[in-house]
Amino acid sequence: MARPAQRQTRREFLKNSATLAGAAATLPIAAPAVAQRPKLNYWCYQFLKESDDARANFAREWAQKNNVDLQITMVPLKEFLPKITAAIEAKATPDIVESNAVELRARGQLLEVTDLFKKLEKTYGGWVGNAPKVMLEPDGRVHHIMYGFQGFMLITRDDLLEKAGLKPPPATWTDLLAYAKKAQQPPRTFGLGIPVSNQTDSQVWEDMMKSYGARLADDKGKRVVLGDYKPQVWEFLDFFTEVWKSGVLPPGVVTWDNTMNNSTYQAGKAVFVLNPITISLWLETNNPELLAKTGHYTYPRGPKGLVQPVTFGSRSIMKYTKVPELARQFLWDSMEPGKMDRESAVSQWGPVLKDYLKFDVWKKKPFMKGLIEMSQKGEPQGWPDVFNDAWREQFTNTTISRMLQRLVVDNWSRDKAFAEAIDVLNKIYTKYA
Amino acid sequence: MAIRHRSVAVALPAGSRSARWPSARTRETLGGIGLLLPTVLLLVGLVLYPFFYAIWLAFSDKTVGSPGQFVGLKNFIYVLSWPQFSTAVVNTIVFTVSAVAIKLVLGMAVALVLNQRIRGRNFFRAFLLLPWAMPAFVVYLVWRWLYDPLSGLINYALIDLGLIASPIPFLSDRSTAMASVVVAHVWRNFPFYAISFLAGMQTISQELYDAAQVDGASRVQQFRHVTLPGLYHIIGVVVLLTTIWTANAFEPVYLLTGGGPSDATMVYTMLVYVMGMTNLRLGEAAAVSTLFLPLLIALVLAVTILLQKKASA
Amino acid sequence: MRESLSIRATTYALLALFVFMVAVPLFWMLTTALKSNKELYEDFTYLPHRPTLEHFVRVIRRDGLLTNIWNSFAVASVTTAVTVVVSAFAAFSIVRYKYRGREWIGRFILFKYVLPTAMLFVALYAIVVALGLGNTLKSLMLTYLSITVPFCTWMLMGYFRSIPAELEEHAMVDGCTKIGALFRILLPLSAPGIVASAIFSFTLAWNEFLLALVFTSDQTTMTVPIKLSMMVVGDQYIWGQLMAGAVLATVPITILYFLGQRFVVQGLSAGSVKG
Repeated sequence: MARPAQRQTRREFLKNSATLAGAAATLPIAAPAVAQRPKLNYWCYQFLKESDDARANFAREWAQKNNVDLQITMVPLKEFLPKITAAIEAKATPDIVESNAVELRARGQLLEVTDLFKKLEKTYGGWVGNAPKVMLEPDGRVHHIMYGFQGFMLITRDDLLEKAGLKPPPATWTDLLAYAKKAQQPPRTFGLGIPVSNQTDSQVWEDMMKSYGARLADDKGKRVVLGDYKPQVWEFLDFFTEVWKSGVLPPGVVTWDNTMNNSTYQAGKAVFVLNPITISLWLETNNPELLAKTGHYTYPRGPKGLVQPVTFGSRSIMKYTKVPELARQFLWDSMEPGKMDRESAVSQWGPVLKDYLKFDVWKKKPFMKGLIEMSQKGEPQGWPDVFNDAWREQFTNTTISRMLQRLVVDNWSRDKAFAEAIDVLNKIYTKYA
Repeated sequence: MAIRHRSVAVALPAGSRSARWPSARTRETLGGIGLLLPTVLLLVGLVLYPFFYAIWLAFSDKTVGSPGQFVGLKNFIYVLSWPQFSTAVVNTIVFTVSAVAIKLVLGMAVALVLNQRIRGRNFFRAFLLLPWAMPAFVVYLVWRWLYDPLSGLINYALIDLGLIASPIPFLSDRSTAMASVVVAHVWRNFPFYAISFLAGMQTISQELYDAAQVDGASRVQQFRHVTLPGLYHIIGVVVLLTTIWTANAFEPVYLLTGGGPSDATMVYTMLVYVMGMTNLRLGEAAAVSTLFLPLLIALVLAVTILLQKKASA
Repeated sequence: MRESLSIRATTYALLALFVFMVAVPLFWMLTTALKSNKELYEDFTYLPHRPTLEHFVRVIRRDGLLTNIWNSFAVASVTTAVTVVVSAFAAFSIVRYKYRGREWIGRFILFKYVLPTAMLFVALYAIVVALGLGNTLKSLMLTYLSITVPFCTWMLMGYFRSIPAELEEHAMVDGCTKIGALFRILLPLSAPGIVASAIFSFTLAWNEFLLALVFTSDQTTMTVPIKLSMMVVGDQYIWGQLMAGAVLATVPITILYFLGQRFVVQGLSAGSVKG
């Protein structure tokens, strides 16, 4: 986020436009065409300085090359929704956004980009893994273009496991618990840094539950069917209770926010955490010794198989844009492999197009290797449930984690907590039916 | 503040009574309204419109980007049947009442101390306002860290002082979560009470204290019979306003506990956030806020009428 | 006015307690700002072992925080100045004039606060855009008035009522206009109330988050709270920078508190009550 550079560039723009306008004024014929530069308003997703800088700098260079008057706003994920809400209602929307495509798409706020989707597929060797599933809607249309996979990995203190005589990675969740119990040294280090809170890093438990065979809704993503999976849920709850009682979870996990597993691992206080590689990128700059001791693996399996969810970063065009062709051009140019190569080196994203698989960075940085595997094997978040509005709302509401909290914080019976979770799910899903 | 309300009698020179227009009465009205006009414009433009829009939202099915239509009480029924709604109401009341009560006592105590002749008074008066001087989210993030069982100052200090044996998860235990949130909130907000009361104390004449002292009143009695009555108006306004602000507080809970553990600190503003902000369903979010309106409006009316009655008494 | 020893002791004891309460978190903020990134994640320390100014430097150089501080200062100053004037006029009008309906304005003015900003910001932004003030500091100066004026009007109403009208009447007999009396007599005597209103308005404008978030888009208009919130990136708190930024941002407003509170003294109003 090099602010002075941004201001300078704007001064340059103003200088350029002033010069252009001045020159144009002396050429009455050419005046209208030259003095009018198209405006592009770009809300850039802000989460990691180097990655943000890469995207923002690309945008500025692109704007200069294409003679565009560019306005960049850096928007952290947490702040995006209020801003876009106000912008839509006040009819003052940006042209390009990089967050919450699913919600916006469902509200019909995005421009269709199916042609871009197909063109990218043809030109760059095809999409990786389940990227098409994330972008394609049931009617075959596409409203956002993915530029990166992001997923939770099992981030591991390989050195502590070695000391305990264990060989990573743990294959199943049960193995994970066993490893965590053996390798931890409380109160200095705890085995498992997973929140059981009202924040979305607690999502892991829902994925775990699904690897035991349960699911929330039917294949259409409309009707809640969790009640039909009581045996599977109970088996999962047995495992959860075992985890809870074993003491591998540090104190305070029931109110952890999304930063706590990061800071706990980075402070060397956890053996295992499940997180995107934002941790690894932080360690690269601030604690390379710890990074050297860290392993990155895909999720362990449950009794009914592997549930490895991935999320994504994507770019979309607001439908109110006055410069649709320009915006499409920007989207297209942003996916160019050379540019993505440079950006991938400093970001947490996995490759979305097969041509990106050739980048050196995946080999150079060992922790990036796991990203490839995850991008190729990962299913969209919520799988096997359909990744739609209703699922998103219950996800933000951390329904399953709340159910678990009812058990361990409020000492509710399983039936009572289960019934409440189903009730909440029903209320949410009915709204979107 | 002793309130003496007097009507203003403008002494007019005799001759002007013959002037027909603008009459003194009209001049007075115009003058008064003129002075009030900027405020009225502000209120109508920037308060009334958003206000009624928000209320309309509560009765509509509006989501971001779509026009929204009137749906009557549908949102209210949805909100009222939400499992955590009644818990949110109870928690909001508990949080608000305890926070306001503590802030009131603490703020008054601080104001009293800062009103005395103490060395370095100017410095302390600025220093004790500092919790108020930074953005709320900074304060609550810091307090979250202070409370942390693994890396927080409070636990480390308590253990090093030998007062406790193992860390207390202040924010994660049902029995301590709400109190911990209240403490952080009080820390951040008591300066408002302190500065308001301190300003109010300046209008109480020293002669009243002297007279009371001559009558043999102790300091406590002086406080009860001179200070408190003099602050009656400002206490009323401050308590009223901060009750509303505290009930509408979002950041303390969101940043410290996220409503947890479970729903131990779930207040109604968290419900608004979870129900409306994150899923772009403005109608539902507005319904939650609107449900609390009658209570808050009744509060405002009651206190303002009471205070104005006292003023004209 | 002799003060007994026990009164003085109690006063100083309480003062010490309050100072301690306030100081502990502030101490933590300051020491955090002085610790290196690595040290922040190592074992817990009360004081920095290797204090560093790197966060302060970074926050000024790389993040341009001084610009944001200037933006906040501009917004807060203008908001405060206009608030004091507008509120003083309104309070004066309600308290010293007679016309129909003024009691009602006084009664309803506090209703502004019953709905949280989270419910109002969408409509407010629509108004701001319609006025062509999108992404300007002016949008904040204008909308903050709607939050500061109601309370300050009430505050000043109470203050004006406590000052007897005879003083103004005497002045007017001597040839002063009614407005002149406001400026010459009433306002100076209400200095503590004015200062309290100013402190309230400035603090609110300085720390306000939601409207600043929605109305501003880039470095030219971003205020301090928004810039600081960008130091919470994704799932990491950049503690060193965040605390350094917070400490720096507190400096201007602290200076203002220090300068302003000197006017919160007795004798300016109370002594004027003639028996």
